[in-house]
Amino acid sequence: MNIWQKLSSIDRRWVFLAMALFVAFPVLKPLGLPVTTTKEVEDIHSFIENLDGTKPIILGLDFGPSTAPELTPMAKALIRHSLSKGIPVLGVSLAPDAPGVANDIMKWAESELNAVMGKDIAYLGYKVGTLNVILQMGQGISKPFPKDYYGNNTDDLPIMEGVETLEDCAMVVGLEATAISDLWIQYAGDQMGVPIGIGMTAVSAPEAYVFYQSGQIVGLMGGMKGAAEYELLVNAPGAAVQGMDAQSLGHIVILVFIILGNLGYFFGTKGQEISRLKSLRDGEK
Amino acid sequence: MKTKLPLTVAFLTGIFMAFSYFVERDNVDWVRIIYEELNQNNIVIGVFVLYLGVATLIIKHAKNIRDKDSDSIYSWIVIASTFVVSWIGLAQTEGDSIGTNDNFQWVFNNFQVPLSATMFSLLAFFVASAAYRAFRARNTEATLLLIAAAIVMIGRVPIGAVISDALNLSGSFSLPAIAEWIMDIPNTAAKRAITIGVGLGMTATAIKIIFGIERTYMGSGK
Amino acid sequence: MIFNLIAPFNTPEGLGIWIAAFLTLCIFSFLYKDNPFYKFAEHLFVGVSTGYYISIYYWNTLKPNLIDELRKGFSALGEGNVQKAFGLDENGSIIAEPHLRMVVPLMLGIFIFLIFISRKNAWLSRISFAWYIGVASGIAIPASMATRVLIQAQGSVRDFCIFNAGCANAAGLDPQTATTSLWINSALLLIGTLCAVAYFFFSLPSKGVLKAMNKVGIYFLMISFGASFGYTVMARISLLIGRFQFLFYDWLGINI
Repeated sequence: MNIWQKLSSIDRRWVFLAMALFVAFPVLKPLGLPVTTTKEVEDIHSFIENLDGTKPIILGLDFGPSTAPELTPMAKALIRHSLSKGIPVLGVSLAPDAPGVANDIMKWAESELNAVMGKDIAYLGYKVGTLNVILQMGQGISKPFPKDYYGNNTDDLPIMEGVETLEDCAMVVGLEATAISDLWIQYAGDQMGVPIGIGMTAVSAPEAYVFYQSGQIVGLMGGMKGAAEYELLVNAPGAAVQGMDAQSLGHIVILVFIILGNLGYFFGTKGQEISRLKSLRDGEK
Repeated sequence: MKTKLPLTVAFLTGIFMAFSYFVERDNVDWVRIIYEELNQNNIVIGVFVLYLGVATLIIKHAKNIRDKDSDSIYSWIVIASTFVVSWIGLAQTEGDSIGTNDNFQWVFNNFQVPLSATMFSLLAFFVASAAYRAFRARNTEATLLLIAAAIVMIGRVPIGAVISDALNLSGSFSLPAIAEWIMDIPNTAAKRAITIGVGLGMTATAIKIIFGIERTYMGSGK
Repeated sequence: MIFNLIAPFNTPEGLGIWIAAFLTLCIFSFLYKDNPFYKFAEHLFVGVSTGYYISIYYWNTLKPNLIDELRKGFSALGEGNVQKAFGLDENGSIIAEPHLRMVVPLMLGIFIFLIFISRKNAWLSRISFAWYIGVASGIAIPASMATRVLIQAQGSVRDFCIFNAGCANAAGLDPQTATTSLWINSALLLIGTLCAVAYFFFSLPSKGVLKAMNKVGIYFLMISFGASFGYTVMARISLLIGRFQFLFYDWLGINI
């Protein structure tokens, strides 16, 4: 086995170790690399910036612990921004593993932002049905959610004053780990005419660009980068901005291994095969 | 009867919901009432469907324990943890809502969160290993894929701007700008084609279900 | 390097952090090789998740939307108010709270469990699935055509609007911002969409113009898949960063 073939057949545990070291190092010692913002995130920010605060924002907290590192910073930055503008935030969940995470976010808003539960923020909990829940919210928000997550009657909450259906809300911002974003866009957005903003995990974000370009959503935040951008826009760098250095090095590591693998392929196995075929052809001549 | 009745139900509910999209529901009472009833009912039926999944899982592990499989100790762990967490969530909740059950939240934060998050974070290692082993520029298409991936991976993170500055690439030729262009134009174009295809496919499948051509949801058997 | 207090063992919060850290390391041990610690954590995950979902489904949906409604209905029936029991007002009109009308989804839900109870009557579960899927399929037809096909097709030519003064004014766009690069990008977007759609059209043989469109389409698709791979890598690493942040900041209290 020559050096090139060895390069393309490193034991995968060394790959794991390299990933772990290069991602862990910036978490321990931040590098301070600058984060820049993009238009799709700025568009959500400026849409909320231009709201007058008379109607609440529906925040779709549709993610669980497996995607929380990307989406929790988005939720916190959005809540911080909305409350700073005097815009109440009404949280709902359409994913079953969301309530635990959403409850923590609400408790954070109460303690860190001095938000008053029921007035500045509210969390209606989770409901089975996704599509049917959104359609019912179009008829009346308290129809699928007669009580909030903490047992209070939804219609009695101060935040619900003057708010009956989804159309009485300023916008819906869905923070999605799955295809629930499509349902918000299809039903709340295109059918009911409610402005939609979407925050997605980076896995699904490329597919949401079609809705952004066609104007079906006002803006898009993709992954931890999108969260970091929003944190910067609201002047409150947090976990997402902290994670971008580790993100950078992690990407570099993967690219280096891809390059090594391709070098090994071209100069190793494939290169040897080409040489062998050439020598066979020369031998025939 | 065993086939015709479910097909008739699917047809009637499907046709009504499709029809209700085009009607001003607020002005036509009977449409609005049936529409709300169907949505309301589906929410509750959905819970039973989900509990079916839970029941199937518990039965599977109970059978492992009964048959004394080699890994039945792990089935004991599944059953025991299911019952303990259910008891904490159901029996220890006071009043009308689980939001006030701090013990349940503690279990969620210290068991569910680390287990779920770490399980998915393993993928970071596996994607690195898989990319190293399988990502080869064998032909033009694969090379295009690799180049686009590399530009987006570098351009979308802060180090992309640093590398662009070091290489004197600025404005529209910087790595972040090229990555942005890739997302806005070629990515959007291709994903739009896929979205249109998915939309047509969903419509066709929905029509087949309503008209009884697609019957896989009824399971096998007579 | 500053070490804050490592998570204490003797408080509920600290104990929880130690348990979370232990479980995190159990799962990470799989990276070396499969082992009993990983299997224990994996099966614990299944069990805890199941228990969690049982509780969440009950308190968030089953109780408020079914059990409470039925209880109110039986209570009204007990008072002799049959109309109220079935969610009707004095004039016989349907009101928001369904009360005993929820017997219908209850029955359909019980049909689903007949799979376990009675093989002879298990076919009744088909009615429940047909109902559920019929409702979802019906609403999906116009919604997916509108959102995924018609508006997307419109989006492909949307950007050209800015080059026509009348269209730009109607859409609220400023014709002064129309540039050559915008025209090129809009044209590329339209060509890319058409060629990628042509790639998935299998009803005609791939020759002539269609073959050329297929070639261009596959190039656009490959660039898009590369972009998706880049974003997928970003997503996976983000989750790993989240775990490291927990281990270093919350568990070990390391703060440099």
